[in-house]
Amino acid sequence: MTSPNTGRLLQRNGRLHLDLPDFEAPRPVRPLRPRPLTAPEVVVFVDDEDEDLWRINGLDELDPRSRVELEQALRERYYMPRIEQVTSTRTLFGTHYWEVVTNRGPASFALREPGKNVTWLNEHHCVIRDTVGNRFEMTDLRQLDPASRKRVLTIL
Amino acid sequence: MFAPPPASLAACFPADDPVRYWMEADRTPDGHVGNVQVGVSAGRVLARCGSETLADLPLAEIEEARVDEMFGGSRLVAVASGRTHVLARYSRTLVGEFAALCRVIEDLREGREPVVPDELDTARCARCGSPLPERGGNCPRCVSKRNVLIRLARLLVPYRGRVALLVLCSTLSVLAAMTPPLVYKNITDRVIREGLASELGWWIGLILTAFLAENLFRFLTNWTNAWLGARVVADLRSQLHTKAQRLRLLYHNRHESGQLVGRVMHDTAELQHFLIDGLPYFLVNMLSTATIGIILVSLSWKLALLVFLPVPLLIVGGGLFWKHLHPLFHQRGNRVGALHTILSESLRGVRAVKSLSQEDRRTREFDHANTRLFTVRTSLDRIFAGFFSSMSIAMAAGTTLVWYFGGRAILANPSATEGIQLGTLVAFASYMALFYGPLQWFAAVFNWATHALTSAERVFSVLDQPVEDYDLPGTIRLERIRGEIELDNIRFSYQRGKEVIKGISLRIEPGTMVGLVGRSGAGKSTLINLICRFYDPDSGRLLVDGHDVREVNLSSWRSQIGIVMQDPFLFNASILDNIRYGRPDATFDEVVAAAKKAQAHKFICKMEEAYDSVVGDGGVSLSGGERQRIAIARAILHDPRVLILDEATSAVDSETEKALQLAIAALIEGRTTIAIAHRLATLRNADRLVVLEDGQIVEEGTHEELLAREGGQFARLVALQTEINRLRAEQNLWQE
Ligand SMILES: Nc1ncnc2c1ncn2[C@@H]1O[C@H](COP(=O)(O)OP(=O)(O)O)[C@@H](O)[C@H]1O
Ligand SMILES: [Mg+2]
Repeated sequence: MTSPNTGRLLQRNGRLHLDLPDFEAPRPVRPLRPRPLTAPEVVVFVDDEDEDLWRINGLDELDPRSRVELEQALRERYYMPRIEQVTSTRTLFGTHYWEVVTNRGPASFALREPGKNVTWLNEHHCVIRDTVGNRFEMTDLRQLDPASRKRVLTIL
Repeated sequence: MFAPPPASLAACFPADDPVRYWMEADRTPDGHVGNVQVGVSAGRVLARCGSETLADLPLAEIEEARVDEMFGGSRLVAVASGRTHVLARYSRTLVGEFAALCRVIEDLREGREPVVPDELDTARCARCGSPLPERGGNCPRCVSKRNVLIRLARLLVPYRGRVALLVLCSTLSVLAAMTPPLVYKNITDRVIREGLASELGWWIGLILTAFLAENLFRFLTNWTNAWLGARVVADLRSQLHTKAQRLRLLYHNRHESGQLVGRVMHDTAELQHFLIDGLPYFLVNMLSTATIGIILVSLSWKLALLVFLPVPLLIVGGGLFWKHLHPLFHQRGNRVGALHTILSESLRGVRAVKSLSQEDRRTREFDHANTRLFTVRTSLDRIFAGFFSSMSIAMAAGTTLVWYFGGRAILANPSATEGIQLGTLVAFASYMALFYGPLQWFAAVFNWATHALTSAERVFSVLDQPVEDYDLPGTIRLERIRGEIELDNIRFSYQRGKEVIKGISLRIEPGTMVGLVGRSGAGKSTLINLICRFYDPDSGRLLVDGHDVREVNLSSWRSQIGIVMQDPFLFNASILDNIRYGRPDATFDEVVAAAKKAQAHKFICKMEEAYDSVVGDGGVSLSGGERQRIAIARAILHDPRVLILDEATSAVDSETEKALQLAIAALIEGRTTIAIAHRLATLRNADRLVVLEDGQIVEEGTHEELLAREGGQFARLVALQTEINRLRAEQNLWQE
């Protein structure tokens, strides 16, 4: 398997590149999370032919520079705002309209069939997929303010 | 679809190269909610965030513009001079918009005039900006309730006689119901107190008449109302069905068929329920409440005020109650659903559960869900009980006040013949029961009305969809055509921005057979959809016998086409009716002749009920090859000038295939044929083969010509298939 400091990540021509000891030159890669919901710390790197080149089981296997590069790339690819406050919810005919404040700013979205489109990672942590496929995360229901929590609980 | 650009963006482009297309993304480069504008002119592409320019690329230097779809959204990327520039990051909400912009950049880059879609299925309401329940749908928040009401009312116009009857009967029934308390008053004051005993019989007669009249008119009201509600909904349903038949395939494509069925059945049922139960309840009770109010005031305005005292409490209380209850109802629905899922999974998956020894786990999961349902049910019941108790208290308060102050007034002046007498009090008591009862439900009915209107609105939104233009005035009716088909530089995309057919030109001579070959996903079926005019191309022309099909009457063109697909659709009807579905007037002899040609006659006669066997959903099940031959018989009887075979022989074993080949040979005789076949060998007798790849024609020629072409796509496909066949044969040998 992999050990620390064997792979290096760098930006070149606006793309993330991976350099492994047996590479002649850094190759352009895309970082992918094979378990984006249940183990986001695992990352594989695939090339443009979707070939799996390398896998890490946590960001701590990388040197600090590579780590910053990867964090940046993952932030963009796995964009998932965290809901911090639910300002209003409204239900019209099976569609739930949400107005929320996330760690990335205010957002509004529509949710249908919560049973299908909400994934519970544990009793207090869930990921919501809205009607167009945007995802929102609630890391800990207990940490929401009481008004927000009440709104969430009536729907989920 | 491109609005005029904002001044700040326009200012970034020189006067001689103004911005022509632009779009606003909803994420900043650092991943926050915010705006990034991307502008495209004839010469450059520019992205800006606030006052900062993120990218400014001359179009000539761009090698590729593309969209990256990612887990958490998408981005528009341009590669220029070997370097990748991210122009914009955006949420899924904007994928359609940016796909279109990306296509514009690609078009401009390749020197084409961009094809700009005039409408996009946006994910947000253009008016209020809130997310839509479905792309391109209507916004439930913005719908004018009044318009929907007017439209519903318009459905009643053909039945105005019954509506008048309804109004008359309900008014009469309310008036009749108002009578008895007044009679009680007279019996108390006149008969009992003043001793006019002879009047008693008369008054009793009046009470009986009032009861009879009330119930008679109520029966008439309910009956007329039920009839009207059912009638209106039946009308809507059949309008919806007719509409669904004529909707463009594009609509069916974008909406799951379940959704449409749901709309036809569920929404109309919801509406019916409200029209039959909710609306009359509301109207009759409004009417009686108002009438009672007037009577009470005229009897004694002072006592009437006491009666009205708890009214705001009842109405506000009812409103609050429903507001509380609604989410709980919802929760109960969800939890019942969850329980159902677990139960049905346990039952259907009983083998899997047992073989993995997970019975205990399933039990635990079920118990957990069961407890959750129990909790929500108990809180529902608690709220219900609490509500009715508090409402009763409020009503009792009103009643008590009336008796107290009324009693005192009478004691103060026992022999009054004006104002408050004993009889007044008796009448008040009876009226109050009639008066308070409905008030607590008004909020509920209001709630219900909102839902019913939303249902109505969704039904109307389907009715408002554009339909296919069957009989446009000025179009040519095609008579029996020769069957010459020409495609002239056709381009097409299902979803805006994602081109599937990328400029195809093809000429098919009358009576010849053309084979379409290519990997799955190359666009073969799409091309056929275009030829049938199930969709219209984004650009380019389709000519039939030299006529542009857009100038041709649609059904006169479609009736000349016969299609046999891989999995032909059989209607839930007899084989006989299925074969003559396109020509219901065909004689039995003609049907048999067609079935014989299609090699279907023999197997049909072997079936117990032969041509009378009902097939399709819920009928006798047939093998793929048998269904196929029935479809071919249908096509032979239909006698089309143009024949389309889409993977017609794919799902069949090799023995049946032989029969099928014979059937098809009979079918294609003398017709222009376009055939798609998975097994390339079956296309050997095509006059010409056309190889598609990624929406474009890459090779054309006869079977032999293409085989001979070194390194050609077709030669490769054939080699691959031969290899697969060889492996299969080996495997079969091993198995035997
Ligand atoms: N109804 C549809 N809506 C959206 N995309 C479609 C639809 N049908 C086909 N496509 C897409 O169009 C492309 C061509 O499909 P198709 O014409 O069915 O290919 P073929 O018949 O050659 O296998 C594929 O990428 C497919 O995903
Ligand atoms: Mg196909």
